[in-house]
Amino acid sequence: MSNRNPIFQEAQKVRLSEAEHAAMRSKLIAFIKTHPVRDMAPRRPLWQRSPFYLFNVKPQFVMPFILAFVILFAVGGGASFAAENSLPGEMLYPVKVNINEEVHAAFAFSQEAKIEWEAERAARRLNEAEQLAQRGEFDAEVFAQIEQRFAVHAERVRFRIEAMGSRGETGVAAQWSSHFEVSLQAHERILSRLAGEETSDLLVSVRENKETASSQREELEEGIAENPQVQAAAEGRLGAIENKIAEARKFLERQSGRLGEGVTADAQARLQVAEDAIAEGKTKMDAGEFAEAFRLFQKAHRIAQEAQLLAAAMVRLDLDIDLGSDQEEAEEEGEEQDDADESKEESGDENEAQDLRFETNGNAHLRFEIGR
Amino acid sequence: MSIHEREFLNAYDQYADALFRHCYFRIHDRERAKDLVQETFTKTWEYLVDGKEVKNMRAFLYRVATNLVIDEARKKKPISLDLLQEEKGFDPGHDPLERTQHMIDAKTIVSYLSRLDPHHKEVVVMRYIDGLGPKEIAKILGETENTVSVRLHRAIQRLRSLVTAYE
Repeated sequence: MSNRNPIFQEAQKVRLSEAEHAAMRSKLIAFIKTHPVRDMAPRRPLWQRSPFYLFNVKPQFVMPFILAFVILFAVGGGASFAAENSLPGEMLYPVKVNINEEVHAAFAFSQEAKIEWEAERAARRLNEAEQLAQRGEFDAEVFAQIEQRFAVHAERVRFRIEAMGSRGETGVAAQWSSHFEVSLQAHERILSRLAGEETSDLLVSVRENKETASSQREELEEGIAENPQVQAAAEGRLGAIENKIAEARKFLERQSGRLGEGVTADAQARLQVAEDAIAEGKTKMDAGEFAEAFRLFQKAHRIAQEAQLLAAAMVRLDLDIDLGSDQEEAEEEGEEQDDADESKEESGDENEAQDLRFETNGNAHLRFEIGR
Repeated sequence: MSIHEREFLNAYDQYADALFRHCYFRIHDRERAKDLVQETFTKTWEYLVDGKEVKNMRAFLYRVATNLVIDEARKKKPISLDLLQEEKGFDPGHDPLERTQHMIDAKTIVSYLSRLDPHHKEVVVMRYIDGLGPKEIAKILGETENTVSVRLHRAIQRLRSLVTAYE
């Protein structure tokens, strides 16, 4: 088919290097080995089925790559699969964090893939903490270790996002910052529902990192006004948030049985708030205020994402979490007043005080007043 | 290694480079292109493992890849042509003789491609870089052959106007 045209000839020069080709091939072999025929493999839980959550490879500690596959073939894929669901304190947990996750990290090629994976690892640590807390397994040392690992991943995310921003990729950096911020926010709320003394250090760490991510995001959003591609960035974000809303609605539909009417209604209400923000953003777009539109679309994304994450957590942990309030909006309103910071502290403390009051009543599964 | 595994790896050996090229010329990011190729193959394997049949491996792989590229394009990252100069595999060709003869180099290709809208870019890359015929492209995209031909024709016209505008 016309293989002599000069474009074709020239384009053929673009190819994977031998090393790249071989590396990818090895990784695919590992993937094949750990993904046997469906009816034999354990089913992955709902929250793990994201597009990037692909690899259950079983490599080695801090060792050269080749050893990874020696071990893989020696031990077989089943163990690494089982490790994926393990929790701190269990036998296979070291395989999960030091082996599976490290190899996945080695194979994230682009900066974006690296950020995504580090953020995923941070979230995994929090998920583990939540699962343990929900079971009532509060070992102080275990939680301290979780907190340490979490902090490392969170810092890497922050660092890479900052580097990306410095390179001028403010749009993508702002996006990831927002994504990480909302993930931490959701986990903060989940963890505080499961709060105990043992989790308080972790909770503080999550909160701090969330604040950092939030500041980083705001800074990047300010910076995006300078970016010549700001209009394209805003358009891209609009497309993404519209997809997100559709995805979130589908998720709620599928889970409405398990969530119940009340929660589903709350979540739908949150999505409506997100859609309002989108509408506002579109108006800004029409007015040519692309940076502001971008900021609004990001906000809408966070609202939708938070609703979905919390709903998923409720299903996963059999927990009730209030979807009705909006921490962010409360914070923004606080900023509008003169003593901005103080107001933020006050409303935050109020909520905490409420939590504690409920906790001391000794009731683990409490339904908050919905429709606040 | 089972027969399926062997066939799958053969498909990798045969098509990985071409798929990489395809992704590269559409998203202009080498590292992301690698990620996407990898994801194309792992997604395909998962499909096979589900017990589903793939009649035409090449078309299937391109279909998966093209969908991943579309998702990627939605993020609308800024395209930096300066970054491209740092890429290996590109030789802008400083030979004055080459320039006066209007030799098309890869950087030029990419710069023109980046000015096309996604639908046009898709078919141009498939036809002129992947070397796929209109029939195959139609199969991959799930369109009629006629639609593809028309789109190709328009894309080439657009490219031509871009090229002449810069001469």
